[in-house]
Amino acid sequence: MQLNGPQRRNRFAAAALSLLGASSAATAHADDGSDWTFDTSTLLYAEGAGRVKVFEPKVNASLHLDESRTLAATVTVDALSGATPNGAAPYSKPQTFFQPHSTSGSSGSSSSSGVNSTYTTAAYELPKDPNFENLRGALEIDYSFAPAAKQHMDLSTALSVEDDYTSIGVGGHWSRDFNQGNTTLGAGLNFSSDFISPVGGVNTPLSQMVGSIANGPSSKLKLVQDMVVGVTQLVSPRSLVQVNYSLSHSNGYLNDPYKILSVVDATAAPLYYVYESRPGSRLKNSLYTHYKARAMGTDVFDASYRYMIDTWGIRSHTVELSYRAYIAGERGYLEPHLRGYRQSAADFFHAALDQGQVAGTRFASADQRLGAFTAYTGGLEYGDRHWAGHDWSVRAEYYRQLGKVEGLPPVAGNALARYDVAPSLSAGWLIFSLGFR
Amino acid sequence: MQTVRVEHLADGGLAARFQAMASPCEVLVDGADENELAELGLLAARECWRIQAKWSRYQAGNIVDAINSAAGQTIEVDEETAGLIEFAAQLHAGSEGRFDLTAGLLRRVWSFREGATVPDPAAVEALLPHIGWHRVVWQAPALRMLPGMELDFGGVGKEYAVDRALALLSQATSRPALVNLGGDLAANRARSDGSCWRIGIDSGVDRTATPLIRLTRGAVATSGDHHRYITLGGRRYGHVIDPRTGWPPPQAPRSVTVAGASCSEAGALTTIAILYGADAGDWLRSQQVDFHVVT
Amino acid sequence: MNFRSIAVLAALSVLPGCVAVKPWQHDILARPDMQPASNPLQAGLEDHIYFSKEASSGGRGFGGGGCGCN
Repeated sequence: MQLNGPQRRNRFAAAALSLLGASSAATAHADDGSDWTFDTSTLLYAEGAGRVKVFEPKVNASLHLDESRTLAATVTVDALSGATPNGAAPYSKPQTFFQPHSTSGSSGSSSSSGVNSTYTTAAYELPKDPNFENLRGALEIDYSFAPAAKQHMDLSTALSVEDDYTSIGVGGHWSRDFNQGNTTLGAGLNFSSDFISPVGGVNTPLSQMVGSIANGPSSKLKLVQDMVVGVTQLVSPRSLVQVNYSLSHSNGYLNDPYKILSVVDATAAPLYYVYESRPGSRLKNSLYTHYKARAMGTDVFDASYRYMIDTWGIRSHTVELSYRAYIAGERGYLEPHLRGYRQSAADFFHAALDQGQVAGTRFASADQRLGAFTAYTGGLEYGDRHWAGHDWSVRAEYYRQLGKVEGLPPVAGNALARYDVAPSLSAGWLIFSLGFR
Repeated sequence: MQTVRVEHLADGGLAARFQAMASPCEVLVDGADENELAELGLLAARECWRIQAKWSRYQAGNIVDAINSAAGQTIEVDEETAGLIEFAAQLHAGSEGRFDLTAGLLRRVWSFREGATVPDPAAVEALLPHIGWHRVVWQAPALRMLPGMELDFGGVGKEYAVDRALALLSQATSRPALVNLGGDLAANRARSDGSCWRIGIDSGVDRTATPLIRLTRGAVATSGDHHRYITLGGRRYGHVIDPRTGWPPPQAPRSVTVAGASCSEAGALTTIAILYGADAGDWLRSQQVDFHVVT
Repeated sequence: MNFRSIAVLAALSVLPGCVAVKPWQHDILARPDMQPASNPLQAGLEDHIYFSKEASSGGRGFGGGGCGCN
């Protein structure tokens, strides 16, 4: 006998329900073991050109207390290493940067003298911090229940800890079925407090990079408030449409503490480097629409589109398509997947600054994630539902980001155009998932 | 012989036992003493006997008799019968015609008694024009069949009786209860101490492990061939016959056990699964239910 | 905010007839592969990748985050 999950229904269950009237049990609860289900997914991620590598296992254990109440814990470990762009622009000569490190700890593999340690990048190369390493552990506890008939409530609390970053959050999501279950309305709120304590301390935004130890306080705070409202509508016995509107407000320290910008002369030669400076608040609006339908018998077609606009001047479009084709009597499936993404640059994005700009600007960042680019993802998933009730899947994806050159300083625009200031990024990943029911 | 006996079980508990629908039946009520159990057992047994009498194809003068002797005339059925027919119509639609109330006619040519053999294909062929729900005009509560057709509620009656008996027990007592009719069973909630009902499922197949199921609430039904099959020329003919061909599906599992919210649901799924033959497991998986298949 | 695009997309959800789906027809939609997120752990891992590489996040639910990766 296979273990069962809650809220399963087939047409025969519903037909029997109308035969027997309301007096019959709503769901079955038979099993040959405990009420636990376990799911695990593990990510192996690597970027091209020797950049970041990630190993990230995730395990979820759910205890089904009864047909509507579930208590779940999800544990994530996220190990990252490799080189990551520091924000400086490439140049025709080698460039040397200070490696951030704490006063008590030892320096990395690069050369060091006194309290400062440095790393050097080759001529024409996009400057990257080669010693980027991070280990993150996260725990999320979820409790879901039915506060009343046709209602569903999910409460969650999350903790994520890294060397230089700690985040705690709480959230709740409520939904209710209407119209014989054809329509579901939902709303949710989430709050998180993040404590950022960068290696070496916090540097004053737009201050010059002069050493490994920061000139500011040791930690900063960031607050995030999220809100989402959505509707899911069954549009036929075989398809549904979901529309979500979400609002995300963050304020406090929103910088990446390790990101810098080059300050260049008219020949694009770096004079010095300054720490990035982002505004102290950001409001993001997203509209997400999702269509899901059965096709060709039991196959599943899935399409979604998301539009995002924020107060930093970024607008983005995301389109995702997938098709799950069942094979071998629904025992396995193949699912090709495509994703297209395009974003415009933040108002304060600069590939580099000239001296006039440094004096006249409050906000500047050369973080590629705030620049303009187009990205494509293509992948394939194979899943298998094992006879014994367990299932597994493997998903392989390839991601390519094509940068668009923007935000060149007026004085050095032509000179910088010789360099690849918006290099493309390639990444590939595999996700192995396993479920025990 | 319609009696209800209260018997002591090996684990010290009590069971009310009776015979209905040619099966041994039992009622367990957690925490009830002998007198209370005797009373509740009788309540459940009377409901089973009522259902048996109402839809037995052997009882002259009941609604089934009226339908099967209508000779092409329209018959108006009572509300409860209409509910059962509507349920069977849903099963027919959801099984691509495999589940069919009119399939009982095939008993005339298929016998699974000791020494029975495979019927003459011509005899099977001759019955097919009188079989098929698509030949029935059903507009609740009016039913009209072609002359020569017959309805048989054998495929849904027993499971319906389990659900009905349990519903009556739930009304009569606040104690947790379980009804078991010849291996098709349902429980209304966990036992008083929070533990589940432990049930050994007899798949009806020799030399196979008996799965032990822990049931908190809901139903479990099993369709096994219990030695009711014919072997001829190395091929095994099981007792569940596909109404579309008049023959048992090839490579049908010997036994299927399904858990469902109600016994009516679980029982329907076991029967239909067997009719999917070698695809029984795949089909049950697509129905998102818990199941056990013995092939 | 681009209100026109909101109006168009919201209309999507009500336009295609919105036939009433009978309770017993929900079986097809009740299957795990028809849930908006059929593999939440995998979706969480990919959301995290995109969160750390792009300026947008969320949509399906909350925006992920809670890490120093962006």
